[in-house]
Amino acid sequence: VRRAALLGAGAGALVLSWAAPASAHGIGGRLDLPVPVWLFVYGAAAAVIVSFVALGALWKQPRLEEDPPGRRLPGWMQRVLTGPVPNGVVRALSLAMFLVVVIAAGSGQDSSARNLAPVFVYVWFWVGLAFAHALFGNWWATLSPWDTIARALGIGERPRREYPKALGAWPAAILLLGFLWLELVHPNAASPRVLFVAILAYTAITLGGMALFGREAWNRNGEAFAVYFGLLSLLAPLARDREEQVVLRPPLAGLPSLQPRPGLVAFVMVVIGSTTFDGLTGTQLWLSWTANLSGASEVVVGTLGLVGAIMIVGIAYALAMLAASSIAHIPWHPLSVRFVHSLVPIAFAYVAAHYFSFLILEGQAGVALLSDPLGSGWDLFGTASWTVNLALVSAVAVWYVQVGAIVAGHVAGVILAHDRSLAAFRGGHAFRTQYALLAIMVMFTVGGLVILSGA
Amino acid sequence: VIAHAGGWDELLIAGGALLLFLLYRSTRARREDQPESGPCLYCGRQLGPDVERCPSCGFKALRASDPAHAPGRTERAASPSPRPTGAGVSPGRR
Repeated sequence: VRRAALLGAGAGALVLSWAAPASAHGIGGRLDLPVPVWLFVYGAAAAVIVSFVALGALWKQPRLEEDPPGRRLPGWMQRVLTGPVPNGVVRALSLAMFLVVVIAAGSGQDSSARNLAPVFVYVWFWVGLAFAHALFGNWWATLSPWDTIARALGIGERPRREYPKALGAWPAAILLLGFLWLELVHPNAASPRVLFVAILAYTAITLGGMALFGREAWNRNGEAFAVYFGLLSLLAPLARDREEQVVLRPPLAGLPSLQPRPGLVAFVMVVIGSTTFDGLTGTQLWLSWTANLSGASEVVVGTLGLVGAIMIVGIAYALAMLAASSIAHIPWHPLSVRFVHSLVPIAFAYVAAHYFSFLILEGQAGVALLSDPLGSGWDLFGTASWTVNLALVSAVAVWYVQVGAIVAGHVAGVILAHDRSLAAFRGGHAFRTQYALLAIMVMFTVGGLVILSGA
Repeated sequence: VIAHAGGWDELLIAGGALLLFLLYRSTRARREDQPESGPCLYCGRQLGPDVERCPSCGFKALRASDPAHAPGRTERAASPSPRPTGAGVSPGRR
């Protein structure tokens, strides 16, 4: 079984390495790079392998698993960050922004260029908040408009049913997949009217889930964005301690505490697989294959592609765990759950690599639309004539950010897996169980860069 | 897509079927070899002989015969006092 798994992982790496470098979305060529793209790819893969070897030689005891205590921020910062008044103000502003977006989506101009809703949802909310949570910790607790609405209306205070533990994070994984399908596959994803329907539907599902299972339980398991931002916030150096005080802690230190539950692996696979699919849709291979498709066939192929990308990532991870299980003598499935935290930095790395330029460039459009959210000719804040500065970041700079994010994410994943192996397995098992995971990390690194590289 | 372009879809299907068979065989063998009690392999909580699903993490009960393989040693999820900073997945925390 181990050999089969390793062969499978190797074959996957070969397939990804064989694929011709393809054009990245919205970024352009890399002809002005100082060294060829293939050298970047080899270098990145080598960096991950060298990190693995160095960890084996230098990192002999588990460090992140030992719950390093954080350092509390000064008192005045605690009051600003956790005080009831600042939190109330942030909740009110967030709810007001949510209402503006809903109104814009429902009654503003049905054009993505003249309506705030698409830019706000896909750029500021989905990408911007992902960066913010990975850097500054979990703010979604305060920002979530659905949580604020439920608190204000008393929804979910007396749940009708106990949340079934067997469901775990599956509802969140399915809802996140729905959102990503809308963004990546739906033919009119940028239409404000489509977004309006989607926002209303998600609001109904979220408030319904909270009413049925309780606000906390649904936020923890069913609210896709709460789970997503919560996962990314475990990367951040800011967190709250037992007494609800904000502490500074080493980056990555929050991830080992990720509690196992059904659906968590699927959730992470959805995040990684969907980002991979997004990159894939910009490649020459995909474009040539789907050039003659339109209407329903385009949607069907897109849906199959999205699900297929998620499954390929999932199968690759399962193969690695299958190989590790034969060494550790533990069934592969519990192993896959216990090591899934090591994929969270990779998930964020993919988001950062794919959407960094999107956030910097497309995000600027929101500055103008903020003054005229409905496309009615208003200039509320004097920014309606703001123009997007395409020179803010160069294609070369974007490429370096992408390479840096991919390598850093995979090295962080190797560190987390190594630390957990040291804590969980004795002797040489700790190192050997990671061979297959390393193969997958290298495969993901190579595959990610090949997709991003452009041609 | 690559398989289709290369014309070797059938190899992929056969490989998928083989993988499913291996996964099924591996999982069934492990389940049949379950000890009567022991720590949950997912979260480390001690499970009795008749528990079908772990009440702590929600997974179907898979018990470790060797306690050294139980994650309870290292993961706060299974300990009586959960690690506070790890509650980042809960909106109750920041």
